[in-house]
Amino acid sequence: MKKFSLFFLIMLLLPVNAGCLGAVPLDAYKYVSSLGVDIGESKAYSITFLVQSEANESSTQSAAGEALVLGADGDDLFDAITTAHMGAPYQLNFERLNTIIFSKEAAEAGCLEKLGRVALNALNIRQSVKLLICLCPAQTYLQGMAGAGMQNMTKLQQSLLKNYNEEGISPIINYSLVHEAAEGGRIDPVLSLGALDTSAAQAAKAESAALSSEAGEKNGEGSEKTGQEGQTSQEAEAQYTTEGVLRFGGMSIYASGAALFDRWQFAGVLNGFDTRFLLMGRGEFQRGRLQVPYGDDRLTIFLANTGLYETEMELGEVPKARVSLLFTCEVLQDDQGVSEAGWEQGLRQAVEEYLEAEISRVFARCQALNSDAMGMGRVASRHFSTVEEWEAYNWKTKYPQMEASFHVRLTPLDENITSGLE
Amino acid sequence: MSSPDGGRIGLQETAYMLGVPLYINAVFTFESHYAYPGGNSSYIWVPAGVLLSLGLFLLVSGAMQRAKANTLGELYDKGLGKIGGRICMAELAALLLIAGLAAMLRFISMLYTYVFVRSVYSSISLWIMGAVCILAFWGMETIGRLSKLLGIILLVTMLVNLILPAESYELYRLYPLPGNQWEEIGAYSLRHIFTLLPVFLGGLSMAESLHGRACVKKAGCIGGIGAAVLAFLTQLCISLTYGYQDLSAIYFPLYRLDMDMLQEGYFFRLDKISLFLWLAAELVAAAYFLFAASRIAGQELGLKNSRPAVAAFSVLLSCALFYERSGGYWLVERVKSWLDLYGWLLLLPGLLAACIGALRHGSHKEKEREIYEKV
Repeated sequence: MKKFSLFFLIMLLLPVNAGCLGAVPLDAYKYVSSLGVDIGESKAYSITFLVQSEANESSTQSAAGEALVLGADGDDLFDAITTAHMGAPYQLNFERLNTIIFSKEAAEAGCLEKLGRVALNALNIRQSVKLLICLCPAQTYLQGMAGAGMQNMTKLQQSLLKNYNEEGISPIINYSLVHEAAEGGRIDPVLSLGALDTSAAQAAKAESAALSSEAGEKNGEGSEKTGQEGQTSQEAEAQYTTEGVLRFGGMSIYASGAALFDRWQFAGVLNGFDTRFLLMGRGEFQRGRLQVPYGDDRLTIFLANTGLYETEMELGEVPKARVSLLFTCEVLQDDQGVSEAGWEQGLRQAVEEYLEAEISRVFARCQALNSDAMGMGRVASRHFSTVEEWEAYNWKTKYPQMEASFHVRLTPLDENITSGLE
Repeated sequence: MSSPDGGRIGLQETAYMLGVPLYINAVFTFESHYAYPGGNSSYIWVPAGVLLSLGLFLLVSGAMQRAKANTLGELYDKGLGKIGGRICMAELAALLLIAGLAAMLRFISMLYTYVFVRSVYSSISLWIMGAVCILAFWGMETIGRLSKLLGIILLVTMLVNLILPAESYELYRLYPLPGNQWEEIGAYSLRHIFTLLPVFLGGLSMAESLHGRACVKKAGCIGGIGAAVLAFLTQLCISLTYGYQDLSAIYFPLYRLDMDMLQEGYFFRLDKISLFLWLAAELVAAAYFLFAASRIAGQELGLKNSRPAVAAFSVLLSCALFYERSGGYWLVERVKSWLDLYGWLLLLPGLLAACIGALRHGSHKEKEREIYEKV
């Protein structure tokens, strides 16, 4: 038995020697942690690499490691890598690639589908790589990520998970799931949405303050803005704030909202507020806080998923779906001091109706964009026993006519809090 | 009592020695583009293929008992005569080598694609073939005991591999349920026995070294049912992770089982380590096929030692491995596709004819004896 155990041990240790096959010294590599895709100027695409490096004493970077940004234009990813290698004293390694970021323009130009045709294995890119669409150029987004070395990169990853699990304001998806959604025809891809908020940075804030005082002076002189100019200014403000709201401190980049797709084709975006209802309709909402209009005031509630999400569907030329959801609910702030009796006598029903109306509104928005973001196709496919029948039904042609009703039930999580007791 | 060629092993070792190659060939040999395009019901037909092979194995084992044949070679001789028996045993040796080769080709491709991207195919092939040849050279005792050692580890690793990505499993991916027509599922199961049944038949051909036919029968049942259950769990988890469209385009879905996970954890990057553990199991499985084929060749050629045949078949297998990547790729692919569809036809007719022939021969002999006793 000793002989066999020894042989077995040798067999298990053999893989250790595997590094000798095609070995490359570790210091010859630099690990790419994020990759950005923009529309290029000299070639079809502009690819940016956020490269992780060891922390350098002379640099001001964090202990998490130094972050370098380099990029090149290319007709495809491989072309850009070749160009980037020309000026880099190291080899780019993609094994640790965590996120691929597409600018909105690149997504509109069909870059996501082209990524679907890239042999990821050839670059050792894992299919679990996260995908994100950003409203600003991907290069700018990556520069924002590189601001504090690799710390921002780690923070963004945490932020994405937190936004998905704790707030419900952002979906989270990886390449494998996007591929399944786009090719499978049962659910359309919904990607995380990112943007840049220059108001968050102190320097930018001061600059913005100076600009606004200048503008104020000009206004004082009596110059009139045209309606178009006003709109442009609003757009600019929305683009360089967090969804139109000024934010102070933190990273200039943020992730909130969802990018909707019709198969591989970019269809539109939802903000963080609407994303909550999208996730509810998909049955993926975990928990989050929500402000609900109540009389002249607003009620702040906390909702948490109970796992009860049921969809019944009748198929036909016009499919009809009835989605039932159950959440636990907690009142976090109630300025009007509604009693427990008040909660049971009308308020709960009002909140349920509000949620149903909002989910229906977001569903209609997705339907108008021909994006089955709520994944109704998943339920439709249950009515078929063979792939032939399912494919012959051609779900995506039926989806635009589909009628869906949402039925939300709330159950109090903590009756003491709901009744105003601490 | 002299020890047979390659040694002698007990019930547990035999069960693992049959179970490990059965599981490896059940899950690792079929091509995605062949198995999934029309829908995914692999979690039905893969274990069904193992159970169908087990059923045929029990049938043959029963026929051997009725015909009082100690090994499969004797059954063939009794059922089809000396020449017919030898032809069928030669065919079985060839099918054992092909069944071993099928999994080896897949594993070498996996290593080449997923791990040693910068390496060359031939060096990986040499590395694999070398280990398989040594194991087969050492004989049945080595293979049996290593199977037992590895079988437990493989079982635990597989269960860990299947449990870790549980958060990404979604029931809707199983729909449309069952996906394929029932006739198609039956056809897939039947075709799959081509790489599975030789495992059982190899065991029956070496029954003398495995404490007899009854012991092989018991070990085959344990190994077969264990492999079927594990194959079912594996294919079910794969089906809960990927829909049929994705599966058709993934070379080896089991390797990518944890790619749907959104939150990375400590165990997230276990795939390469798992691949090497599967590879260790594959080395033992391939050694079993090589040794069983060599043992048959040795017996039929009247050699007392199987080692010359092991050496010869190792060279043959190495040539086959190199041939695929040195210009013969399309021919090998064409042969593989043909065998996937019609390989079972090479296996079943001879086997069933031998069973029927041996049973008739046995009943004829019994009648003769009854008449003789009466007289």
